[in-house]
Amino acid sequence: MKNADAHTLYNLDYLNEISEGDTEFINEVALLFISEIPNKLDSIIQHAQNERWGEATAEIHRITPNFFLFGLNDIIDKLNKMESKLRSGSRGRDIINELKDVKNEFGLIVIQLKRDYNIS
Amino acid sequence: MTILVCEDDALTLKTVEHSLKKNGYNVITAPDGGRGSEILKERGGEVDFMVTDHHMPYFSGLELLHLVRVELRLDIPVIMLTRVNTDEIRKLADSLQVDEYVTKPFNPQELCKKICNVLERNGLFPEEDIEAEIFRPKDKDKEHEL
Repeated sequence: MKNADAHTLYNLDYLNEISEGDTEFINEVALLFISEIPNKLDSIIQHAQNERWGEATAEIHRITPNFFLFGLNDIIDKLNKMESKLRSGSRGRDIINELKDVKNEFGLIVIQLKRDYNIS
Repeated sequence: MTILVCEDDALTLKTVEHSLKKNGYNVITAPDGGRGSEILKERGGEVDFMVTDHHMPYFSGLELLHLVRVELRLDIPVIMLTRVNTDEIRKLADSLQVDEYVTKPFNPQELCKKICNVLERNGLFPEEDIEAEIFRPKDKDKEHEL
C-alpha cells in the first residue's frame, strides 16, 4: 500500500494473504475494483428507484463479497442488513437512501484508492 | 491440470484465477456462463476440472453442470461457487453430481484444498503437481510417509 496513513478506509490483509504480497496483482485488483463497483452500485440504485426490488436484492447479494477484498466490513454489514430487509418485504425511500449512503461511503474509498495507486 | 473457471463477477474471477495459477494449475477463464458453455463445447477435451459460479447471465452454474454431465458427458469434477447454498440449488446440483461447494467470499486455501480432495476422491490427483501437494490432507501425507 502506498501513502498509507492512520485514516486509511480500507485494508489489504485479505489481498496480501491470498497473493503473498504480490503488488502487481493487488494493483490490478484495485483498478478493477474502482472501475467495476461504482457502476454496479448505480445499477442497484436504479433498480430500487424503479421499484425493481427483486433485481436490486439479487445484485446486492452478488456485489457484497467484493467488499471483502478490501476489508470493507462496514459496507458489508450495511448491504447484508439491506438484503435481509428487502427479503423480508421492506421497500421504499429508506432503502434507496441507505444505498446512496453506501455509494457515498464507497466514493471516499475510491478517492483513497486512486490516490494510493496513482489511478486517474 | 487445466481448470475452467466460469464466473461473471470480474473481481472474483481475478482472485480465483490468481489463486489457482499460484498453485500450479493451468486456468481457462469464462466471464459468464454462455462463454463457459462455448468453451466446454469447443474445447471440452482440454478441461480437466470446472469451478463455476451459480448465478450467471445466459447460463447458470446448474445449466453448465447439466451440460457437462448430461449433454456432453464430460467426466470432469465440478466445484460450485455460491454465496449461499440454498436447499433448492443444492438439491438440483447434487442430483447432477456436483463434487463440492465453496461459499463466497471464498478462501483460496479452502478452494485449493477442496480441489485436491475432489481430485483424490476421483483418483485424479496429479503426482507431478508438487505445488498443490501442500494442500493434501494430513492423513494422506502420513500414508505417503509410511
